[in-house]
Amino acid sequence: MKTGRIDKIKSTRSAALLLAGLLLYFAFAEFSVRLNDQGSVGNNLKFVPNGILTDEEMASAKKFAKDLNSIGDRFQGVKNTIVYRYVPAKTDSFTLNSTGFRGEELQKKKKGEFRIGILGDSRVIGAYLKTEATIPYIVEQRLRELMPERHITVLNLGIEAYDLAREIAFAELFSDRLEVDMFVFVYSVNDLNFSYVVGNFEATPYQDNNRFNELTFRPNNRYSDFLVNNFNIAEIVKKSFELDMAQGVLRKGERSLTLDPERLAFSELFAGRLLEKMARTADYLNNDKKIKTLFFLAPVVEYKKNQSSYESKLSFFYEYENPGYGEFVHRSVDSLVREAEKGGQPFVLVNQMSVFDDYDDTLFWDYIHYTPKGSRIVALDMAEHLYNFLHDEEAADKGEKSR
Amino acid sequence: MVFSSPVFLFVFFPIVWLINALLPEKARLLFLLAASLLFYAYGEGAFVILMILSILVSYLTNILIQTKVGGKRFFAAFGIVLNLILLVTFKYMNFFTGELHALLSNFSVDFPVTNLHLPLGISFFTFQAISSIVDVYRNPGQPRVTLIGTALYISFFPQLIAGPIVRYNYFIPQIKKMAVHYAAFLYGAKRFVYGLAKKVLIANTLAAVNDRIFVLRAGQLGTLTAFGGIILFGLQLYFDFSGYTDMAIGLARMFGIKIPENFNYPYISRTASEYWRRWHISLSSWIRDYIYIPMGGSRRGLARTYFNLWVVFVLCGLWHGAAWNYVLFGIVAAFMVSTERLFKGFFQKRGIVFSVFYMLLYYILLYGSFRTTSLTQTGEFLLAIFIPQASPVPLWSLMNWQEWLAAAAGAVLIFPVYPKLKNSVGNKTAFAVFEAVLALLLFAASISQSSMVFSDPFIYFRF
Repeated sequence: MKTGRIDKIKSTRSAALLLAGLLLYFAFAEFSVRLNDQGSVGNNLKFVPNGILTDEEMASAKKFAKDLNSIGDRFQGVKNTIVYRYVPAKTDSFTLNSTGFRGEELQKKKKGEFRIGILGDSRVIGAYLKTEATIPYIVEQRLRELMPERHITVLNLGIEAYDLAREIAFAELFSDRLEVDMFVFVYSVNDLNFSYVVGNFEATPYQDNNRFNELTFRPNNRYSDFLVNNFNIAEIVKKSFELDMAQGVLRKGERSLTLDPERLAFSELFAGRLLEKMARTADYLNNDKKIKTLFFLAPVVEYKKNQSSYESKLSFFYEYENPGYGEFVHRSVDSLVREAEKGGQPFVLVNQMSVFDDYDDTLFWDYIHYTPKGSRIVALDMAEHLYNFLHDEEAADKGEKSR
Repeated sequence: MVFSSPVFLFVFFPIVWLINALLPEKARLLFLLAASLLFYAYGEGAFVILMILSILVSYLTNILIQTKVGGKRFFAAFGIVLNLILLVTFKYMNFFTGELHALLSNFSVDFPVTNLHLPLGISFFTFQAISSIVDVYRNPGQPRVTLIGTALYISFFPQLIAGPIVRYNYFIPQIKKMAVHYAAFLYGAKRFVYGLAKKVLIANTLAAVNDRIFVLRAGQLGTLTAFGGIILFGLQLYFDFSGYTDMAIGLARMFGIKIPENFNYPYISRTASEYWRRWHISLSSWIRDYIYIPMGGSRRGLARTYFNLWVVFVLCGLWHGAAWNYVLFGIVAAFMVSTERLFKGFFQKRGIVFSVFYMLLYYILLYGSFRTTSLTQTGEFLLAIFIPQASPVPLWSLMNWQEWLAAAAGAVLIFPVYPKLKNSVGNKTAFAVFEAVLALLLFAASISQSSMVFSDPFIYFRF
């Protein structure tokens, strides 16, 4: 064994040796991390700790990610609109049809069929989930149990990273082809995130296939981006750093970092503007297209009442890059719910933010996505509301006819 | 910052080590001090001021002890009390005010409850600060204390957050010549990787199982599940804490500092007294030397000896956390150790079978109070174990094969199989190659583990 000192650089040779050792250390670490790379679709399965998903759920999620990646560029834009949709594809985990959403080819509507289209983001499409665990599938099964006479079918119109503005544009573009009787719009995590980042509740126009770059409106640093995009170690370090910063806030028992005054003001204002937008959409679809329209506020992790320790960390996920984001979410949702509760809107707005209140186990496997159990809870609650809505309408129709 | 986190492994450690090596030796102490303060501030932000306060109090106290002819005792007591005030305020105030609030609310008095943040590692750095004062007080003629020396001793990042608690007289002489030789560096790196693997591959894996077991309540708990939970928690705690210690020892060695061992295979102990000589050795010996012996130890008669034993173990329990279950933890330890002392002859004559069952009982009581979050939950676990009942949620339904594998590896490694293997191999060069390959494989496996980023901090960070 050499007995010389390693911490004393005496010559160029010893400096070169030290540098080589350091490079070898990073190279070996990079190699090791790549060995276990699960692949990613925007959200990284490799960051999910043991015990959040069962072995079967994790295996199915990995298969889903692999299948989705195998498609390559999976989105196609619709010219002169903000809309994009999926390219047709068939894999072991899912089918993307030629209309551009998850599910088998769209069939001509049968007589007596009541068709519901649920629009939303990756949580509606059921990214990483088996078809049977997706929200639209569970809603369909439940409504068929509750209303066997209605011949209900539910279309899964979820598309990754969608927000309300795109959902509305998609509905306007494809409502005739889809032949739906009811649209369900899911307002959720992307809307809040876009609203925070852009300072506006409208999404920005879609460009090419570069979806995920478009989502990050932050100024880029080309050196750090180069490292993060090319080296897994750099990506892991970045994520770890962001989480450490967020956990620092968490440890101090605060809900969020300080929100800047401009966003603070916006968080209070935007409810009114958003409700106006919803009202215009509902008016157009209800009256011009004769399609019933409902809006759902789907739960986000920041709003979960009894968070597991993992969810507490997740709820601070954006804090470092978006200081005050947690506060923004609470204020925005609170103001939306407050306005909605005043009533008088020409549409139904269902607040699902508290649907996880009775649960203290982990229902989010990453910052955005529900575990299969979480997805089921949201879906069953949605089905219950849809049933009540349809049932009330049915009763009203009967009452009108009997008169 | 957690040693197993990517930020530490791939940013903080390589940069600090490299700059330290590039700097002239005279500047290294100051640089390591700055790095240590940054290490603490990274996770705790402005609370680094508390540590700086503790450093200043200890330094000024020590200066006064060394320069004044009289009043040494007063200055030492004053410095110790100030450090204890820091510890009590930030660690125990919420507990005390909460209990007072609950008590006084019976008399319609609304006593305010504090909500202070518990700074990481405060129990460790205040104990080290006290150690510096006591050591200088006991030996004021030692080389003159320096601010940088005292500050680095209290804040040295490898052992800052979760020990081992290093003695002032052990640490200070080493900083005068912090040379790192190849052999020491390689030993440190190997030791660090072993600790990383213990934490990431065994402790974190078992933590997921325990999270599932320790949310079960009465009615859901069966004997086997509750007992399995205690055993698995014992393994998790040992590999978590001893893993951290290995990393701390390894890191310090890579900077040219030796810090003492903290564990000596505690689970081969045949009595509770032996357990406390093998588990968290630096805390046990700190309490022995700075509390138990100054209180009279075993020199003031039988009754006083038992009184002293109970005081130090209850304090030891409270040191682990401000809650009643930690008091129970201390009482269990005090009761077992006192009983062993009282019936010394009986315990010495017992065979291995008795020892196994006796220590299992000890672990059930000790960890039952340690892992649970309230006395009610402790009671539920103990009842489920001692009143045989079927498990509505069987243990095997809560574990996957990786978790069984981690438990099996843990069950083997609590015995000194590795040193025995090392001694039995005649070819030392072959064993060194084996160790190098093993370290590389463990490093690769540990850093590619999915739980790295989201992993929970070390259990002993709380103390």
